[in-house]
Amino acid sequence: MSLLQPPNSDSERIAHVAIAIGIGNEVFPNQLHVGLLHRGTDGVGILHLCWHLVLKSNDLYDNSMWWVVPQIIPERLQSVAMLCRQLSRTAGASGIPYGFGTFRNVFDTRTGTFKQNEGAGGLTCATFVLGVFNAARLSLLDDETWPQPSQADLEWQVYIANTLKLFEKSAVQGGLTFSQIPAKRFQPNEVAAAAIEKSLPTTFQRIERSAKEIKLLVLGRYLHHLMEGEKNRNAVQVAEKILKGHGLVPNSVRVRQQSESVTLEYKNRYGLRSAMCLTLNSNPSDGIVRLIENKRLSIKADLSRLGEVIEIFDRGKSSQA
Amino acid sequence: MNTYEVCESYLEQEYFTQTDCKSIVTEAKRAYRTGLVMQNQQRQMLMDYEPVNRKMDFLNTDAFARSLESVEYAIQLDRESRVDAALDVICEHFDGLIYRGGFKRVSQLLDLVKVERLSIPLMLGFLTITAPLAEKIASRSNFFQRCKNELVKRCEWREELLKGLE
Repeated sequence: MSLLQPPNSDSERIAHVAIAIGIGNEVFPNQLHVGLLHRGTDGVGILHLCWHLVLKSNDLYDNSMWWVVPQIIPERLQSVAMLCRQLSRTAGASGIPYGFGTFRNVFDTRTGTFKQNEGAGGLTCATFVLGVFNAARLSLLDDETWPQPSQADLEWQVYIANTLKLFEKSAVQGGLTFSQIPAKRFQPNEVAAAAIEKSLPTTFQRIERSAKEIKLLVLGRYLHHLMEGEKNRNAVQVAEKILKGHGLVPNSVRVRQQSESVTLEYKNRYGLRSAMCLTLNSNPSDGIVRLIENKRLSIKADLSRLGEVIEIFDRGKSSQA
Repeated sequence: MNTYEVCESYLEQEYFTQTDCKSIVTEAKRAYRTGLVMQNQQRQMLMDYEPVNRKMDFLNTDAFARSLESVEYAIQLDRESRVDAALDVICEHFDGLIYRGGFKRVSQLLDLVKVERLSIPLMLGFLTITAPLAEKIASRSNFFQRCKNELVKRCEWREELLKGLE
């Protein structure tokens, strides 16, 4: 994990290519985003697939993301950087559709464009990164070892397909994307975790744990960033421990602070599970944190000491079951 | 055979006339105008015309001579340690050459490249950009072998350097 560099690390150390990971949209911090940092003549640029036909390129990297240099010899990474620059120059013209298709042989290296005619079906931000490496004949992971999509993955895929259908520009692609469900899901943190592995291509089993650690690391840092400048951080620390201890991940976070009370709302994005809303009261002078209100979660916990979380019951989930 | 396949078949041929190009473009445009193609195919069809049009340009220019000049320029940049710039020249130029000139021209060009004059990144650049077309470019396997031999000669040979680029 020491290879993963936090935000504001010196990007001058990126000789050719690095994989960048961070929160894509602050409203939905559960949705991590991944892209490629590549060295060009003007410095380090970032290339990332944001959405349907939205490939952002040539933006200079602003040090806001975590990054890792893949464990691949520099000479080969130099070729990957070459392809990144090629895609930056050309892929914007034809566009890259968003979807859950394969990442193998999707780029025409002679033109730097996405092969629309070969049933590729579209990419996510994560499969875009894998596709660029694949175009350089490098493989970060063995997709055969990736698990079938979980319930949460399916919810996410349906959500994406529905969102694509909402807009005229992407409505057709939305229909195509529906037909690709269920599809194996490659998550940004899994791509970053694969890049850390010494032996490539890696398997899901080898990166499963480190991928989760990366996700919590990025989210934890995000929560701290969220509370920067706030006078009371103890509540956030407790909330973070709750999340870590119980594998809960906020899908959207909003912080309200009124005098000594900090309200942290953790909402699920896809509407299939109940939202969670915790209100924690924290006293900066003695470090004691108390649970004031819990609208959806029933927490039987003695939060009298910072970080001590004893038991959590999700009443919303229980009642649904 | 759909429009895309027809265009591809033209690109496979080394020699064809401008009349061939014009007829395929006319036919595709007619299909486009009369709504025979779905909306999502229209953009693709417009892209399909492009290689044909570019190849028409190629017939009227001495692009091959310019390709040789570009390779020479890339080698010069490489020698000045401006490797990234050299790779960009190769990347852009091979792309254009394949589009305009077909695979036989690229094959001829690869034959002319002296691997002794290339740095390792530039060798890998040539191999990476031509990898998806390995079966179509006749001289590529020979070029790969020449690169491998050169690396051995320089005592730089490592398996991971060329892995996947055969």
